[in-house]
Amino acid sequence: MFTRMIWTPLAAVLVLGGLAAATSAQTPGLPAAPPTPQVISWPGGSMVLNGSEVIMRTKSPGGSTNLITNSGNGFGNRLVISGGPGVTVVQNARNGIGNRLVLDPDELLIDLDQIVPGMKLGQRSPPLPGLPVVDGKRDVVASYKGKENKFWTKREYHDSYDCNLYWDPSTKQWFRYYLDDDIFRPVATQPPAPPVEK
Amino acid sequence: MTRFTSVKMLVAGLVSVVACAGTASAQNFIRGSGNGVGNTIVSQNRGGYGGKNVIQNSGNGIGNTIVAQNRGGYHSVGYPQQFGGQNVIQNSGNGIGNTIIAQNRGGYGFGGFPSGGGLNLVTNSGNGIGNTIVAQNGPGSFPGGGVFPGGVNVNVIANSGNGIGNTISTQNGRPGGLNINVVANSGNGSGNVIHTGNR
Repeated sequence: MFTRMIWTPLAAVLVLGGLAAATSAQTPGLPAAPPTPQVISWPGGSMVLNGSEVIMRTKSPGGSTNLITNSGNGFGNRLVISGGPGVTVVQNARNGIGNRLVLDPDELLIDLDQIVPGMKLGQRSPPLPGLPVVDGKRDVVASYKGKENKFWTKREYHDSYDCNLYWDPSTKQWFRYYLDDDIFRPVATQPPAPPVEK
Repeated sequence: MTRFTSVKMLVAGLVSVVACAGTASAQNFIRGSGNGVGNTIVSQNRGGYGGKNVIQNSGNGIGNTIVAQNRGGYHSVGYPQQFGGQNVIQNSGNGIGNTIIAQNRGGYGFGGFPSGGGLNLVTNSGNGIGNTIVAQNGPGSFPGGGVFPGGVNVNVIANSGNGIGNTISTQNGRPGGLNINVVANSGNGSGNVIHTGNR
């Protein structure tokens, strides 16, 4: 499920949206406007909420992040975060009766339900309208409109296509971006899947 | 080295499934095994780098124990972003009173690279009543170098530990590393405990 990491000397950039996307099956729906990125900053780091992505940036090496989504709901459940300092991102959790979230005093809590009500991790842009229709249903061949799709878990340059290819964990296919149409489409000859996806 | 183990448990509680490997980049695959009552599954890699345990559709039932462990593990020179050890547990340990332990221990840096991190991925497992899921990276790593001397350590628990009285514990015990815990669609129900920790 599912991870994209970008290493820089000064900042650790962690894309958590891909993780969330990999853990929840999403079916492309109707077209939607691109989300407006939101930035939440604190001493020593920041977080960018950009559609399906949650990007954590820390200014110092190392650090800890906990992401808890759709969990601990029901009756009398307990979520315990310890061993900080770090950042804990919570979304749609501890709903119900008698559920508790226990944090270390130095742990930074980011409750997405309070910051961005209604936000769903793992959302993606819909396929391009007008795709081939088979038996009255939309063709199952996926394509993703707009360059702002950020749910890819892997990007690799491939000599055979002379361009970057993007790995979609839900369809388990490599996609390439077509600038003229502003759309991602799966490539005809699929290179081997990334190691973590096998 | 890759080894596949598949043992159908017809008589509960009498046979343990054990897969051990001690060479570099060793992988153990256990599928459809140890289901029933009171079975034990141990999958372990010792030393080397890139050790991987994959356990699927196993250990479901009552009172089963699943242990997936990588001991050692480091970044190889040509693949500096590989995880030092990986455990993947899917559709396993569901039922009553089952225990799942996924652990990556050891790990040390190679030259300027950070020490081998660890990845534990547990999906659709440990659902039911009174099950325990433990995903742990470290302790025991050597400092290494690079940006994250403790390596990149990730625990992902998804669609697991739902039901009644289940316990999910994820922990990264490597100082200086980039430590991440992800818990999604898990621990829903009644009286479940989710504990995530980084040290």
